[in-house]
Amino acid sequence: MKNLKSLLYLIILVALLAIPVIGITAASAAEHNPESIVRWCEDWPTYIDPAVGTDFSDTMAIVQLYDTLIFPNLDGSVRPHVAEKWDISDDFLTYTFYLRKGVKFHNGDELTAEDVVFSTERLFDIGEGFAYILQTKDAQGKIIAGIESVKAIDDYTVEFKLARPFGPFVPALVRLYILNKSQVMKNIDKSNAMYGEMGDYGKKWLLTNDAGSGPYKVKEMKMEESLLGEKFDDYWDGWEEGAPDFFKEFAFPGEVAIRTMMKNQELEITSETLPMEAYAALREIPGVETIAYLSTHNLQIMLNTRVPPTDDIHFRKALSWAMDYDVVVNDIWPYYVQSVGPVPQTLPGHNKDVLQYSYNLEKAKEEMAKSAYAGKENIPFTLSWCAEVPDEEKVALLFQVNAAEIGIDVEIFKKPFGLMIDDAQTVKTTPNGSVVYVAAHYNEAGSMLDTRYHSKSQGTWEQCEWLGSPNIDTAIEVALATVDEDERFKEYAEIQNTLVDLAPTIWLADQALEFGYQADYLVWPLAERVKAGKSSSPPMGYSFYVRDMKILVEKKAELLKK
Amino acid sequence: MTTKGMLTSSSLENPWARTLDSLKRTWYKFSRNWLSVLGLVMVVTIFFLAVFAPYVAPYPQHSGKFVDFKSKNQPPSWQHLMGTDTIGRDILSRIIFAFRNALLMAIVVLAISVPFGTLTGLTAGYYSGTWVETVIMRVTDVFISIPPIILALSIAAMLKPTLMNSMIAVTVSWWPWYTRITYSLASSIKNEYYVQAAELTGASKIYILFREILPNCSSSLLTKMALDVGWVTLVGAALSFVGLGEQPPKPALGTMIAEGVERMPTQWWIALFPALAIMFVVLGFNLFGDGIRDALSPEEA
Repeated sequence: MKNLKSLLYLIILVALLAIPVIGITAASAAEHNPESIVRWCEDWPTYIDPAVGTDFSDTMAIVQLYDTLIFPNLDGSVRPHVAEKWDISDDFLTYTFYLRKGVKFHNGDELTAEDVVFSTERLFDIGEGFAYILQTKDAQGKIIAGIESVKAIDDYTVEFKLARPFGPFVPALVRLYILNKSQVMKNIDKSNAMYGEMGDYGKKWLLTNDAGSGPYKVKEMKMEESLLGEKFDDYWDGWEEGAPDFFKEFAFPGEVAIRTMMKNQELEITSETLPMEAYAALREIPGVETIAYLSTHNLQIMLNTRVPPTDDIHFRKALSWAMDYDVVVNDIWPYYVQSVGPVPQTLPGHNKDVLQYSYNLEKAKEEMAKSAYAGKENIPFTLSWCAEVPDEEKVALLFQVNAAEIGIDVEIFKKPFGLMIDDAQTVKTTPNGSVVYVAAHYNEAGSMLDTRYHSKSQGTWEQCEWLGSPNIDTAIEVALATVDEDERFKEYAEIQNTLVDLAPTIWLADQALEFGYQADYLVWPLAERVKAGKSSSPPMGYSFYVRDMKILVEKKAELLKK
Repeated sequence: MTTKGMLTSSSLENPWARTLDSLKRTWYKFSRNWLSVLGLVMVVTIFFLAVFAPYVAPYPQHSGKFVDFKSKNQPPSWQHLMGTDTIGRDILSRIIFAFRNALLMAIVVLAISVPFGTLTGLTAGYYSGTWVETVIMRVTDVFISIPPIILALSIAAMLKPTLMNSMIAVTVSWWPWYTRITYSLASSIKNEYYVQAAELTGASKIYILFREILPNCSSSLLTKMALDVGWVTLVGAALSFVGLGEQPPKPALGTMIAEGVERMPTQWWIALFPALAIMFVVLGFNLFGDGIRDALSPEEA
């Protein structure tokens, strides 16, 4: 009896001793080093819900939190990701994807075909975000292109039926992010019946939470301020030594603050919208390097083709010939190159043979003489530029000077981007000219053409032209439905020719993204590629894929001591 | 003070001499403080530069539609005494042209708010104790309770950003101070014997208000006006600093500073010189205003 009692005490003693030990081991597994962090300051991500977010800062966050069926390589091609392989039917209307087993969501649930179906349907039901890339409806709501239906064959097989063949369907799937169905369903706000029995479809909850399986999960989302993401230890594809434990994306603090933060190692990568003087100053900081590479974004002045004087084609052509492109690419942004037509040159399907406008006042005056404004002086013209990108003012002022040479009086408005979005919603409020950057959403010319010039994007900031041409709409739809790549590219090329002839836009330059980064302790695959002289044009957001980066924590501490 | 006696005797014969005499006396009181004279010189300089801007500015075309990216961000040199900005424009020329709008703004704002404020203040002061006073002064209180810069900011933000609208915004926030100051003076002056005497002799209300009370408020009002040119410039610069004033490419001091702040400290000249220019205006009119107060003060020193 006594022995039994002693044994009991012994067990209790062992148990008591063991608790802290277990505690420590458990803690150390989850313990992440706050120094192992990548921070950038593009902006705080407004929408981390993949059915809503579309801009650069949104996608930078979404790619960390969610997985997709396929994954874009840095060279622009795609590789299998959550889908191990896929089959395509002979009529190019049915795509069957076979999912990897053992992919875990952040809450531990396994990712299955049901989740893919749910995520697709949710995207289309909400109809925001990148929905328009994967599905096109006509005015009556009938699906005319893209995904018509999706179903789960079994737990690991999912089948997409397309309304018509869609050439770049697989690359476009980089914008289909997979959410955890059961987790979203648990967090639906039923009091808001915006989507019928789906309530708010989890939109409110997903503003500050994630339901993904991506390499990082939301640790803290502060609206209007920042997103802190933490490494997801059970990521299905495993982790390499040195991969960052955290990432943080926050609001643009101003140029001066950026320089100070880079100096103090409080920031790893700068935003890409700084003036060139700022990059020069950044290069002076020890350990900081800058990289620049041509992206799939271009900078343009969108001309509202429905209001005078920009409704006149000759007037628009006159403007296209009056712009001094060399100043833009040499003196304002030395890494940019002049655009050749509406599609950035890095995108597959770009037509390099289209007419390229240049600074030629004679031709400008010729076109002006053909327009309805011939002989007139001080023709009023309104131009907006985006307050968040200080250098756009230089373009606006240059345009003003150039336009004055052919008798146009340009009035310039500095507008916060939010106001530009509001202005773009109606023909009347859209200014004659809007200085805007646009990015391709997946790596093909068709993405740019579809986003920029198909009537469905009218009323959004991505089309301030209000082109509304049924011929161009049809041409774009036909081209996207062409499965044969050569054939498809030929059709893209033809559309680009037509557009250049219509001159709805002054295509200024293909944007080189320039970033300052902590080269001494941050290993950034994109920067390595750029420095090796290889071209690099990942879809928007993927250049910041944190899982592939590395933070050399010891080196960082050493540098800080100096 | 022998000269003084001499002047006074001659002034009895000639009204022109009398005016000259009082001017000389005013100037004497004004010039006793060398800072006032400095202020006067500064004010004259500002007006001269503003009026003759197209002739005195080294590069007058830089104040309008002009870009020259080849010569951007140049530090001060003999070609560009205050350097060039990020667009390649001469900063000195732009400051000179910015004075024009700064002064125009001050003049317009004061030209509206002073008569309006004085009139309401006189009326309220003369009728103090009646409902007229209550209505005018409570409305004034409402406007005064909101800080002028915040009121101006919110008005300017609602309207389209132009120089005209920022003038309107500043005017709306400026007149109550003139009402207030005239009211307090008028409500005490109306009890003076000479006002009561005028009332007894049957002088009209208009006569009493404008010939008896107003002249006795004028020294305070003039002093405040001189000081306010500087303050209005400052508020105007604050508005243009946040983008609510004159729109580019036309120069505004606040806008120039806002552009330059981002370039500090490497390209210090872009922000520094416009900032000094604002200081010059505010200081000049303050010293000048002090001088006017001294000159118009009734007591002999």
